[in-house]
Amino acid sequence: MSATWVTLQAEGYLDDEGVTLVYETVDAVRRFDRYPPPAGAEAWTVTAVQEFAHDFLYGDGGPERLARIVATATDEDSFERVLEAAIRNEFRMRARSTDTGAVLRSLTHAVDNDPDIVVAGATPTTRTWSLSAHQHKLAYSGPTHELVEAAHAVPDVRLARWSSESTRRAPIAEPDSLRRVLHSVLEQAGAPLQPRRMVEVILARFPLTTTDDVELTDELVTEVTASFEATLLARQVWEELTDNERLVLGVIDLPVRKIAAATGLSRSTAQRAATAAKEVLAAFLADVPDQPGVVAALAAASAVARDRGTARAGSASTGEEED
Amino acid sequence: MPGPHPTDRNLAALADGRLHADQAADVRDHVQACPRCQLRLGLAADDRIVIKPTTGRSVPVPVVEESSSDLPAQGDIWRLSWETTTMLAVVWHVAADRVSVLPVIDTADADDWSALLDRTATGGLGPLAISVALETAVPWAVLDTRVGQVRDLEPLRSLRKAFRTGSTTAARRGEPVLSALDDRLLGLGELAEVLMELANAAWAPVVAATEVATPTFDELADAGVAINRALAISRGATPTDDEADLIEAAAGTRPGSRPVDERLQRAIDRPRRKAAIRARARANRRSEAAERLSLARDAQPELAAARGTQGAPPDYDLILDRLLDA
Repeated sequence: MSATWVTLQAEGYLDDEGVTLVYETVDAVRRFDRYPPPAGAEAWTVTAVQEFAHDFLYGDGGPERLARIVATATDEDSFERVLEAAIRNEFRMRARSTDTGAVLRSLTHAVDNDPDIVVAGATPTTRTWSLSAHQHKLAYSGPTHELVEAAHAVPDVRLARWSSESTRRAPIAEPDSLRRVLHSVLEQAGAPLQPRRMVEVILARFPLTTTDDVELTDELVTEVTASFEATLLARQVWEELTDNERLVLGVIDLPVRKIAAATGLSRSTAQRAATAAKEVLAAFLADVPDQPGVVAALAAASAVARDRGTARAGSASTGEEED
Repeated sequence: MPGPHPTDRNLAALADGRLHADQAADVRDHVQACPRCQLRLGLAADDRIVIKPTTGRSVPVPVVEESSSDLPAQGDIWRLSWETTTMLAVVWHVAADRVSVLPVIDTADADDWSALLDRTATGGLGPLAISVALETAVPWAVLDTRVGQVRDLEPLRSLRKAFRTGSTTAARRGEPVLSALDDRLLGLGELAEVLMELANAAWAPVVAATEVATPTFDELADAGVAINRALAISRGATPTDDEADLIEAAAGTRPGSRPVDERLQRAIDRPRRKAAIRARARANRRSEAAERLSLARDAQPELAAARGTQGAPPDYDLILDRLLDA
């Protein structure tokens, strides 16, 4: 048993052992609650875990949060428990403002309205979904990719029609299509499945934040009054950029923290994307006379990409009820 | 099931083979008997990351000064604890047998019946959300330590009144929960369970719990109980744990518990004794409830013995202090 809590109480600082405890707890919670990696990252890494932990420790209100945890605990064991609960709440709060939170809420809504899916488990950490035939088996612990393949194998999946003017999130798919996908995944699992695992599968089946469909349209270019040559060049630059680089382009002159806030990317990912985008811009715009026109056109497209990035996060709602 | 659930960190360490042998054995024993933890282990993502020990990254923390106050007052922020459950709450009303508290909740879970207090109002604990809808009466036994004080009670008073009477309020509060899908309901639901556990923290038997006939003086003396105590027990006094062990060994039946004197119960439940009782419970490998009951059994014969002295009148506080210092 560590002496982190005693040191905190007596000395007023979290020692190296305590910082490692926070890292390990962040890693364990993301692993057991199956939170997806930060936006823009393909997998959880040591850096991503440490970045989350540093935001928790040093971010807005971090020291006071630790003071509350210390005050709530009664010994080392309870300190670890209270710390874990606080980290879990931080994950929950962040997920609320991301695609993951929206997808989990919409899947919960779909499952609650599906009499063929059995919901078990009294708490969020033990909750599972299953088809009734498999409800008494041990929870699924197999690979996720097999479930994603089962989701892709469902024929005639119809994406929902949705007005681009709407301020509400677009549905993941038409309700019947989503229902068939959920059933196919649960049948493939052949066992109860944790909701967060289903979110992973659905996000893989219905990628929500791609910028592939954001184009530098004539309307956009007209809005920013770029020249014909600038428009052509802007389109060329746009094609060279990755999704994340497109997202950061319109806010590239801001500090990394603000780029991260505007795009939903983690700070390290935002930093990498901004650096790479600057290199692309430097290579293309070295001798261009209408630089402002090109940049304005790119910034306008980037703004659309950022809006889509959040607005296209899925919802299985019909658009009528509150979410 | 042996002990509370392991933390996710310990479950992960068990799965990855990183626990020391003794701790691994404890966690493994728990998991083998606990379906919840088996499920949790089975659901873990398999993308293991190796976190190396950190050096040179210590973080200063503005730890709040804890007070040794023994008497809670309205607006105090107290740590409540019972066995492995712990939380912060604002004291609202103090009665002889119970204390009514408003729980401090995570700001992420604040709903429209949670007052939002900024850091200037909470004495070093940072911005707090305090629920007036989850006000709960808890026994004194759960009061642990006073950790702060709400400097301006008006927002809490106003929101509490609005919750109870439907009056208007200008208190700063969270957004209302409009949908059953709102995940704040999960956090608030878990908090309600914690509060229920604290509210039901009982240790003193409320009725005579035994129908077993009281042993006679001769039976008690034969069992090895001291003569004066054998006489007292045969006349209705409660045996201590050690005396109960002797009686059980001789007669095959353990004597049951009797109600604890109300004055003794209140003396045991004074917050200033909490830390010593919890330390004694840990040392004796007993629950806090069992330790309090054991302390009551030890104190009652002490009081009976004190009655016969010529000194100061018997006082449970003195007896308990002596027992806990021993």
